[in-house]
Amino acid sequence: MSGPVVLAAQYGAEEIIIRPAQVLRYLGMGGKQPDDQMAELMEQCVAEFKTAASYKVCWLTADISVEEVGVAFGFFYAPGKSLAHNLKGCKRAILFAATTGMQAEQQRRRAAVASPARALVLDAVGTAAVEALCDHFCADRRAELGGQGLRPRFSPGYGDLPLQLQRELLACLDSHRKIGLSLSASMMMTPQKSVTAICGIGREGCSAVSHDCEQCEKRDCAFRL
Amino acid sequence: MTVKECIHKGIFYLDGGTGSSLQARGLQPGELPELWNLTHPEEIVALGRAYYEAGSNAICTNTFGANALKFDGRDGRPTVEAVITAAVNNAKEARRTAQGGQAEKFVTLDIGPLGRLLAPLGDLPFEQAVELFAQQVRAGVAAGADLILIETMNDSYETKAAVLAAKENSSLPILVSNVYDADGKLMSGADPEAMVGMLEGLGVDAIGLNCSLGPQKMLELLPRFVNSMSVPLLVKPNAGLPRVEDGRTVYDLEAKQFAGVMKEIAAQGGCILGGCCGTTPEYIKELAAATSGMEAKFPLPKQDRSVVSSYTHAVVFGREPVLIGERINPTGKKRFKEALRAADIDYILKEGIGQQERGVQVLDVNVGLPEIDEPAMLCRCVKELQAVCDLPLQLDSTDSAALEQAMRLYNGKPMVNSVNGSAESMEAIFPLVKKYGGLVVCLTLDETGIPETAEGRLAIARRIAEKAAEYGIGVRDLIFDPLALTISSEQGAALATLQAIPAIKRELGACTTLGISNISFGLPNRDFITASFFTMALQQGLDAAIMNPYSAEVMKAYRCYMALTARDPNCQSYINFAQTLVVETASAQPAPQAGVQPAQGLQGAIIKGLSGEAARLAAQALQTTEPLELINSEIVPALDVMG
Repeated sequence: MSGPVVLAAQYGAEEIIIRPAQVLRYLGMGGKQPDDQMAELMEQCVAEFKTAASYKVCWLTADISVEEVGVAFGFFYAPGKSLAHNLKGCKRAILFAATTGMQAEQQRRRAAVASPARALVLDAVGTAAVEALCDHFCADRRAELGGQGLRPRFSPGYGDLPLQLQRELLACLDSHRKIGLSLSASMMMTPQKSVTAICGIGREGCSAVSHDCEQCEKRDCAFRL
Repeated sequence: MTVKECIHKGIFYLDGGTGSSLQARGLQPGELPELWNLTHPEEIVALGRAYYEAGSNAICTNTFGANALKFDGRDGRPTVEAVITAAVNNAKEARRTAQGGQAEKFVTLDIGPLGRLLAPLGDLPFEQAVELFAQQVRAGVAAGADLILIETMNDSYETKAAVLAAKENSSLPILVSNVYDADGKLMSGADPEAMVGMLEGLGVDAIGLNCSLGPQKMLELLPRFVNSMSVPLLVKPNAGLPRVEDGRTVYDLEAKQFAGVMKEIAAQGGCILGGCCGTTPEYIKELAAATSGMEAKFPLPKQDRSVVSSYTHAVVFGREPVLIGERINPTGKKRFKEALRAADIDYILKEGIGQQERGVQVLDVNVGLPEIDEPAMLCRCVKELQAVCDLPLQLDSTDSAALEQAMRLYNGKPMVNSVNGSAESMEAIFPLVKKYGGLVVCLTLDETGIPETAEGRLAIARRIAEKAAEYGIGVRDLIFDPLALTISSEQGAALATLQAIPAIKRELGACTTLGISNISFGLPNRDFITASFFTMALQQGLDAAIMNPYSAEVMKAYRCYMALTARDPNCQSYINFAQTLVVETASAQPAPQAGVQPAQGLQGAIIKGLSGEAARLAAQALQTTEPLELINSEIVPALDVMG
């Protein structure tokens, strides 16, 4: 069979490690120590989230052509300098979509009725979880690629990569069918705790972490570690 | 031969993958396969012809995503009608030119998901989804399709929208196939029993599963379908799992291996068979060869299950008693009435979630107040409740317009409360149950009132069952309520009701339900009477009760009955329940001061506010203690604590 085909994988709850420090970060309390009550609530929410989460990723590997202010993927074109800079020198890239599933989404909505505080923590747990899922997935691909290396992931909305790209990205990943991830008319992903991203295949410029707060110029970022 | 005759005659063969086969012919990711009906008709005809020649009874039109969200007729894009007409014509051309294959060849209008998630979780309104599907159905019918396959649906709600569109715009047979993950759930959370409940309620002609999994994994899920359904089972797996090998995508099952597992699937009950992603005409050829001459396992054994479902799971009646929470109802509740008038939905949602936490399996939803728009409010409550609570709902209204609207947009197969033996009620409710599916509560009363005797109520039940049968509604979709009337006004009321339960079950083979709270109306400490009546009714075989899960007495009656009738393994639920009660009593105490033992005896009872217990302990103590001493040693210290 020719042409890139979308692959899909499901991860078990035990494979995805949700780190309290990351949860705190997404609660806007990065670097602070939670009090006992908050620590207990976080612990409960992580346990609760794990029972509902269903970690799925779908991806494809495509040949790319990096230009000065855009990247051609054959089946769509991503305009802008940021992604082009990120993928400079790459001949191929992995496009992926990851989600923590609909039940986790429903769990958060349910919590919002009974306890807004719990819903807030579940929201942060969900963000930490989907980021951990992406890191885990990228680590798997990186291991699979061996010496070729995998660049840090880059998502629509980063730099000047337009959010509108989600539509093409999810369409070519057949994400609704493969992992139950769809886009609303206003470009919101459902389930909310989902990520789409592009990773260049290549060693050059490769960093072990997908984002380094130390190097980031946005000093007033609420999520800065 | 019609499609239905052909399906019921033996194994009915569908085709294999379309999208994956077109990718092999050069379709790019992100490119719309349906456009090929217009741009590459020769490829579509060739693929269809190959499937017919390989042994397919029916091939699917290349219309998986041919909806108006993608084909709106603007900016050079074709319309839905143009795409579907071309696709049906291509399939007909494939049929016309096919050599050999099955004697009977049909064209299936293929309908896949819209690609947008429905509200409340997504943003696509239910009725808009119905209309988008309806447009596809009308185009397919006009172009001459023979049957409809609604497939690869990963959301029960979207599945329902598509089925309603198919039912309302055609009389073609409707086959429905969903995508389950390795855990046996749809993306939206529904399990096979929930889907079977909803889809049999909607009256589809076949139910099954496709895509995502290979045949081996589907074989493992098969018993869950076979044990819950009565219509033919459709199975259309992938060619195993895909992987990339030397830059090429390969699936891990060869055609012969695929066919080998499919033969086992046929032996286990699959009777409409085909393939999904990665399967090609070769797979269908091997499948037809491997299963030729096998008897289709149809009809499946009739499942006399009374069942309702939510968007995640089904609740079966007739095995264990089912608790239906009564709290979402304004009758006699000032605060609830205020919430309804103010459209305070959060209040209602909390009532729902709270009852679920107390252990009810179904929620009754009654929002009838004279001054509010009941259809609108019932619909809103159903939608909002279903966004946060996964219990099946019992839609409770005397307004048939409210019931119809709520049944239509309910995600699952609802319980419907209620119909009664009057001609007017049956004529209003039974057509709704036939169309939307539902387990309907049948009140044993009619125009003349409520018969005093069990025999009189049985006679009405009999009449209701006969009338339902005329509408094609089986007794399994009826649950009879022999009506609990208050014993404070009529002493013999409870006995008549209790006698009617076994009489109805014996003669009609149907399930029974009661609103138990009414029995004690007007009496002090009502819960004592209600709980005892509940135990007696359960002993008579009552299958469900509309009840108050916040009543400790009623829950105690239920937990004890379950434990005493060997329905509670290791008495675990009883133990959990009993322990919770202790914790709740303890938690009502003020926090003890550090180093101070919590007070016991009379002093403790006063501190806890247990007036009855305090009086009993005081009377007991007075037999051995002087009154003044008792005041000084127990009551004054307690009052010191309480302030």
